Amino acid sequence: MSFSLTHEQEEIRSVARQFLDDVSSSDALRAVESIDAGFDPAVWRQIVELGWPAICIEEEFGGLAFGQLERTLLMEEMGRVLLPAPFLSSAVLASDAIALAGGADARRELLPRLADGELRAALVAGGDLHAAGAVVGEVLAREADSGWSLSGRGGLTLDGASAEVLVVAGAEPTGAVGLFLVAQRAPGLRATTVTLMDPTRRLAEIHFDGTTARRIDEGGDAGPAVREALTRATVALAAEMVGGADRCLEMSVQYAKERRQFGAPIGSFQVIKHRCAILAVKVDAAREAVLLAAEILTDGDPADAEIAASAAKSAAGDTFQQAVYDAVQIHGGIGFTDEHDAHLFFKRARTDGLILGSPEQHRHRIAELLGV
Amino acid sequence: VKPDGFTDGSVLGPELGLVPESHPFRIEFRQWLAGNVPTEPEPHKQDVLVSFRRQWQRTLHTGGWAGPSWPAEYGGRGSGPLEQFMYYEELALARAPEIANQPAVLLLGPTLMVHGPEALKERFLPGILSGDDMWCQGFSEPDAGSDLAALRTRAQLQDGEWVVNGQKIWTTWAQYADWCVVLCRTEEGSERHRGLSMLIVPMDQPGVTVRPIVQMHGAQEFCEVFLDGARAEAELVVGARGDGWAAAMTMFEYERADQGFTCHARQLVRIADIATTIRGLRGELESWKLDRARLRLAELWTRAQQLRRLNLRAAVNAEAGRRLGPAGSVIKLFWSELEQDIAAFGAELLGPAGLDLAHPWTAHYLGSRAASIYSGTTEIQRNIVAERLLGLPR
Repeated sequence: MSFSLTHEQEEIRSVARQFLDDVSSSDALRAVESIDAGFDPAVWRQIVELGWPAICIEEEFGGLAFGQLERTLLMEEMGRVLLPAPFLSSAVLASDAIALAGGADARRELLPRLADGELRAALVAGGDLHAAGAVVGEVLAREADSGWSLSGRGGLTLDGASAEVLVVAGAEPTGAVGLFLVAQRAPGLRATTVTLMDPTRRLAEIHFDGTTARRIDEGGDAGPAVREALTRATVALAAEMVGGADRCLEMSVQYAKERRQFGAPIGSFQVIKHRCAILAVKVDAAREAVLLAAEILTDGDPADAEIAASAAKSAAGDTFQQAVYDAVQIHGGIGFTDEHDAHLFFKRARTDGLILGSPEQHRHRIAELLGV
Repeated sequence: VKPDGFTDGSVLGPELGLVPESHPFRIEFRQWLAGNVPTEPEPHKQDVLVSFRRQWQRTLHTGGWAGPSWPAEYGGRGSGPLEQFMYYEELALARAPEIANQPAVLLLGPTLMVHGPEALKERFLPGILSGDDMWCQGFSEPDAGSDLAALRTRAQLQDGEWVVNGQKIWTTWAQYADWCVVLCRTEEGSERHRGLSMLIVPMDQPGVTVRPIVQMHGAQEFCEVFLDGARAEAELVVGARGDGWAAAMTMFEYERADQGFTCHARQLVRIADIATTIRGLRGELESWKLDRARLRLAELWTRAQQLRRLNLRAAVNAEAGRRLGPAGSVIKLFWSELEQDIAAFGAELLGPAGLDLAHPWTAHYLGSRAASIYSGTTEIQRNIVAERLLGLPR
């Protein structure tokens, strides 16, 4: 249970906070805007040195073999500073898909390279924004004499253009799901960067046209294992969003203590005070939903994982959205400017709200899982 | 998909490792409840309802299940917070009635245990737990609600007895009570929260007049209590004379902490009932109404799971001896809003049938509006969260 963190978990969190405060200044966030890949390679190297991409990878593949809870703690810290990095795409989505759905050879070959940051991968699964509900969007896989080839729309994919390889869920003619590896420059692959208002994320539209691919699962149906990877990523992203919401609350409270009008700090007025209190309750409760899901992923009943992940993502989504509205409002004019960071959180909340499913989508899934 | 999920065992949601469904404490209580929970529904008429709940308290007491948190020497089980958490979940799952003396068992009893004196513990605790003595709590006054320290009821010692004068309001179950704990000013010249005492006043005497207040859903749960020269023995003081505020604060803390273990399970049972209703409406409701209902249900279920987690956190902290503090206000806010939203949703699903007060959901809907007023209003709780948790200036 995560009600009190172990010494090691506290350590992970405090190291992360200190590091992220150093590298994710307001200026650094803005500098990334002009970088196509959407992250600073020097910062990514430091993240690799800290061992973060290795956190959930098994020891035999060069990983640190921590549980989902530890990764959740890291994600919340990353969310607090809107860290622009290929962590969610490569170290969560792609790594987990390989760890859960990949065959023995692929795991032995790829996971150590993902763990030590030598390789950055993106996952093409779940259609647009990994949110379609189904594991495979429109990607069809065919086997010919020369090997497998992929065709069809991969959909909007997180870091799809900057990743060195794509890990792709494709449907065989039988309907079974296979997991494939595609090199970024493979013939027949189109990865087109999409313009986003959120400067801290990068999305690419992926399209395959007879693209040569290497099959990396054990055969059979990799669908359930890829779905499990998406479920884990949903919880990880929810944690990141709680971090973002918490930071918005913190910024707003700080501003409300400093900004004076009518001879008093605006935080002494109940309209502001209560707005902050309402948000504080929401953030606290959203974090509990995320921790509950992380615990279920770690050692709970696997049958509960999906519903808990959907609860976490919908709660985190609603909360982050409210938090950015409140942050802009409480900061007044300055909160509406380009100079202040509030709009960066505002824009990230919109992107994150859609990646891996909107709150409404997850509520629809919860209702299904409840048998209603 | 759990085909017939969300009935029976899965009502509570995902299994939580610290309080598993198969915990021996749960199983023992569940078996006892199966043989003892009244099968007939709660009566509508209030006088009959109160006797019914009193009888249920006696049944629990005889079975040794009336006060899980009370120490064995006072007739309880000495259960820790995690067992209490499971206790209230099992009560809700079994759809057990409430007990008649709930506030006294949960609040006054434990406060008396903390503040004493010893003689009063021995004299009053057994009757509180058995339900033989009914109690009410005289705190609020017409001009002292959220601002409790503004209270004006006074007591003076005359000929070795307290003589109490003043008026209390919103006093729950005063018309059935044998005793009332009265917070009043006993020290001449004192102000605000200093100089108050918590007295125990017998209700059956000429100086006490009770006038029930009819609430918006027709019930008369609370009352006005007029104290005109009401008498109480000199030694009937909870805690120290002149330091009644400390005892009152202890009681408030129990009030908030206690919600931490009791408030989510009955909500989850209500949500499961709504799920059954929605399933029954499939094919009957227009698709947009059905979709909307499904999404709303999922949202309320999610919030109830969040509340369950907040409560478990409170129980774990209490188990470790940590005080609840302002986290109690977070729980009160989260819970009261959820209770109101569930009640409104359940009533709304009834359609025109929900316009009839005789329908249990309708009465619950009206009654639920009190949840954001009693035990510290939403506005007061938000002040507490803002000032004590976030450090915003007063």
